[in-house]
Amino acid sequence: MSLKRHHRVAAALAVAAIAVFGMAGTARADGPVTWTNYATTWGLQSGGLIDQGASNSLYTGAGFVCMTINFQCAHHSTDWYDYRQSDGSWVEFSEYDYFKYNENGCLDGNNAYGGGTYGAAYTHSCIASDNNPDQWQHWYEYRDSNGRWYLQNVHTGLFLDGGNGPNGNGQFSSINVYVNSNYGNGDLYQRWS
Amino acid sequence: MNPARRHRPELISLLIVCAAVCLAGCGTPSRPSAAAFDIRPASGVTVTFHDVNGAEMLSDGTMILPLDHYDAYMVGANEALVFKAATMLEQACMRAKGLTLPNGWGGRYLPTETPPLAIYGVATLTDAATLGYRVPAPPSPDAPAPAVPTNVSTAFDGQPGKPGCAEKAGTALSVSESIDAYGYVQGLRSRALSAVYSDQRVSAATAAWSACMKAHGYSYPDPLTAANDTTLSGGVKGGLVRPLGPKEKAAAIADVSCKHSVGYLDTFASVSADYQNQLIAKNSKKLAQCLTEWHDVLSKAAAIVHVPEP
Repeated sequence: MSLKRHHRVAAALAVAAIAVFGMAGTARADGPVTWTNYATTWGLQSGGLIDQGASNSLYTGAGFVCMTINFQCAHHSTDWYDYRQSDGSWVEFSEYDYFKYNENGCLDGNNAYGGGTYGAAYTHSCIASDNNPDQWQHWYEYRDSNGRWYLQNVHTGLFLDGGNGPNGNGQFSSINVYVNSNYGNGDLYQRWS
Repeated sequence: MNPARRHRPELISLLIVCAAVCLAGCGTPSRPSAAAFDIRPASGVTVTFHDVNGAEMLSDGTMILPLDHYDAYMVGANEALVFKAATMLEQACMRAKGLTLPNGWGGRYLPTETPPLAIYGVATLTDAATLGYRVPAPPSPDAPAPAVPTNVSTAFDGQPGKPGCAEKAGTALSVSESIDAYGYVQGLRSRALSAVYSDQRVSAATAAWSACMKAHGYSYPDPLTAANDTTLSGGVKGGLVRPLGPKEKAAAIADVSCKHSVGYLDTFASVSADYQNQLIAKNSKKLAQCLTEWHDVLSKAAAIVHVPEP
């Protein structure tokens, strides 16, 4: 992807996202991002199936499904855009979903299943912050002492977990990527680079 | 927001209704009258700043803020109690199936508190010098849970429509109630933070901090931008990050020095408490319900462990 194209794409995304999130004042920290799971080495991908249910839209994989615009590869399914929110957390915006479906798909995480320790993660239509006081789509991003990134859901406190990758439970299984209780620095499925 | 580091070993979870009213603001009729939680600094940690809003800045770089008194898991004793009860239930469930659950499995129902690094960046010179912009490792190294046969993990995790021992334990403890309560408090914390970051008092402190950093050779509009500047560690967000190096360490030390010199953290704590108190007053009914939910979970856990509720 050329730098010129990227800037144009990023600008379009910024306009769309500001309309959605209302956060023009924090653009300095925003930017494109990919997340690669330390345990599987696969990238966090949107399945391009926004709002199709918690079991269909998020997984990890090689991630090079290309969205073509004007015969050029615009975005891979592993491409996300990181938007800082007014509460200091971040929203993960799927660039692939945006360009493929013209929809705003954001990383979303549920509570743990009834009494269990883990819950579903998926892409869901982005919800403007003002209408999303529970912050299901807000994530804290920080590094552990080894320099590896966590993504922690603001509402639930659960961590994004890369599960067992595409071979674990099928390519479009919710268990591929989910939110899980914290298992510490030793659990590389919960660490991203 | 507060880190797990204040989850101290000593059991100081005193659920005293009258004291709780005072914690939430004595004589304020709109505050919840249900029992709140007594949050105190860990052993060896001192209060370096406190104000009339109920904010406390601690020597370990953490804060105690009003909404913390509505989060049972800010108290280590509560966390330990629920963990122990869950483990007992899980082990019994697995034994009933003729299976053994090894140590290291189960009981992970409890949310990990967000570290201050994600809220206001690095806060102590010790952390800056040893960790840069990274979260401290847990007190004891977390070993990966030992591998178990599939039938064991399936019995523990369950299958769609067939709850496993983990879910059964959670259900017995009504953990979903604590999940709801935690989520509600987190929502209020988030709303308070949005107000804090745009507050004029914090904006002024942020501008002073930024000017101080400029004098040290760094150009950052605010502490969170510094904390997320991966160029300090030689990488980019989403890329490989190198071990802590002198560049990141030097920036983090300057960061904390500037925070101290302009009183950034004290201002942040005070303003945070101000907004949290406003939200507590506006949401007293729901917060009282949260406390009821917390106490239901704690009392059930105490009954299983056969100890008084902390």
